[in-house]
Amino acid sequence: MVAAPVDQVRTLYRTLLVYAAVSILILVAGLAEFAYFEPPGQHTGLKATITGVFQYDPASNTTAGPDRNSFPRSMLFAAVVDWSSLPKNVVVDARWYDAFGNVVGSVGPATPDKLASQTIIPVRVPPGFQHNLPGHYIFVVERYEGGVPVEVIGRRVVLVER
Amino acid sequence: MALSARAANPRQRRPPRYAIAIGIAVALVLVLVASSILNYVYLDTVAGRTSLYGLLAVALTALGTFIGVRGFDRDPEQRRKDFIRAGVLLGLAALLWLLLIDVFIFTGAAGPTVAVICALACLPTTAFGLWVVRRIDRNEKEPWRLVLVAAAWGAVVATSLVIWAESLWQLIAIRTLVPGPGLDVSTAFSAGILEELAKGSAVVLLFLVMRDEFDDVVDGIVYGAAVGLGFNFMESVSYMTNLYAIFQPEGVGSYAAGFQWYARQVLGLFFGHATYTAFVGAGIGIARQLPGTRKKLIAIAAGFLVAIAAHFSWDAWLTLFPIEKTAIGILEIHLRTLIMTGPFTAAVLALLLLGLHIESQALGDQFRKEATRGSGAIMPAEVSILMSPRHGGVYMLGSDAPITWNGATVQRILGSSQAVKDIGDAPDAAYLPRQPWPAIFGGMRWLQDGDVGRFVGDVPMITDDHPLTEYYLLHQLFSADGPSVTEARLRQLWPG
Repeated sequence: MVAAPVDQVRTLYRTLLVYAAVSILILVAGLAEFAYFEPPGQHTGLKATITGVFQYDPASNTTAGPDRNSFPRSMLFAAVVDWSSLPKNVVVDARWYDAFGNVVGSVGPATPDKLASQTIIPVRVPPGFQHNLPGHYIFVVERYEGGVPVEVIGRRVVLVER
Repeated sequence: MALSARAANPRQRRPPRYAIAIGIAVALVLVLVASSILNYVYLDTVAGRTSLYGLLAVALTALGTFIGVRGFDRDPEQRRKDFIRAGVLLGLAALLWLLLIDVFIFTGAAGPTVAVICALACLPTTAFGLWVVRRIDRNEKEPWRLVLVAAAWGAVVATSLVIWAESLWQLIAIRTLVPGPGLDVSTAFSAGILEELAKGSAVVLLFLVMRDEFDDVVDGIVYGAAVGLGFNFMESVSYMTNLYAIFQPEGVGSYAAGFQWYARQVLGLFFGHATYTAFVGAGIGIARQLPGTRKKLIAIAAGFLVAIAAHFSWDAWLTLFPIEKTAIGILEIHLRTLIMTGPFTAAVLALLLLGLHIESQALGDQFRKEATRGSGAIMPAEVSILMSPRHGGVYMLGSDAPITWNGATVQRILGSSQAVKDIGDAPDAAYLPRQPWPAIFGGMRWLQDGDVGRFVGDVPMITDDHPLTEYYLLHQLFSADGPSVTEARLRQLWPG
């Protein structure tokens, strides 16, 4: 291939630089979004007590068996949180996320007093499905600030087997 | 004797870029080996085991690439053998990688049959993508072997590089970040940065090693998109098989896999990895054409930056366009892809069209200069029809000035080292005649100027405004339904 005139290559180069400038804006927007949802300096040292993750019976809304880190997909399970371990003036919630990042169970956000009757947080089977989807499930207790969860004060990861 | 032979045939010094390429390749291999072992020992995840055992596939790909690239500098017979060996090794690497994905990630769930079906489903679409990508380089198509090597690197090596890195990033992220948008953005940064660096390293290696076949922005886009299509192939197979395994117990495994196939191999075939990595290639291609090291480095960095941003934006903001679970959801899926990735694909197409325009202008200028300076290669008549010396084709040469042949000039141009190399690289180089070119051209000329006019009669003139002299062929005699053009048929029609 023969060489192209320098002026035309300069046009290509400048076009690419314009694209790069737009790309920087996109990445900065991403960093800003990350900073909004993960604001720095929010570490309070608070720790929520997660009693454990147990087999769950939806009929009686009770848990049974030992604390476990993995479950077969046909078994329902729930996390148990001791809300009394937290100060009364914080706003918190608890959520289950499945392997696809969907929220599949939650309570709150509210103060620990208001959540005292909801110590069991079960995982809901997705509508239309018979069993939980396999993968790693994340259970978090989050502290809120300004209506946004800013700090994870309790976390468990459990595996739903294939 | 040995000394005098060496002095008579001095060994060509390898350019410094080869050292850079070897350095990058060694660094990649070391990173792969170290991270795979660390993953295996400390993380003990399925992905960790895959990356460790996948090293064999990576080694096969590297060996296949080495043998294939080495073949370029050999004589036609040896080159053919090298290309066959390289093809077998690359094929084995791809097969091994597919087996690993099946055995270690989806053991006992989807099964090998599903993995094979998924791979077979993705082959035609990926092949179509590669065909289109290669074809858009209308002025000088890249060799199939290099396009396929690029795709193999994207499929095997790039995916191996990202498995361990993304697993590690994800492991740390889900244990430290607040789940939700923040974690999603983190994951998007991981995918954008790590996957584009992994795919881009393949394009950089091609640029360093195969500089003769990597001329400009158009070539860069072709190789970048080929790497992206290879990556997309392997990612599609793994997603389809994985989702089949997850959803099959609910009875919708085939639907989930089929949806993934459509989303990645039809809708996202060009609107995805092919677009992202094409930007990396565009940056490298523009760098190839620029003077000055600083500008070259900026262009390469800019290409990577755009690729990372394009990939990031899709992964991070996909949830801004939720899809309804109704019939209208089908429309929404298409619109989402068009809105989110469409601008990037349009941007890379703009670079491509600009690059093609520059190529065409440069070629046109070259032909005009050649014709006007009277050097003899193309001199003052209008058209000449040539028959292939092996009777395999009919060629027509046109010019805005009469055409005559000057044996000395033909010999000078076609005897140049670049021309000898180009001719030697042709797929059918082994069958090309070995006589001197001036004699061959003399024997090929069939009709010229007034004879051509007498042959075609009083008909409208057809002009070709694309500089495709080497590919210019008339396919049918007189009409689209007519018989194919052959030398024998043409000679029958010529009364003279």
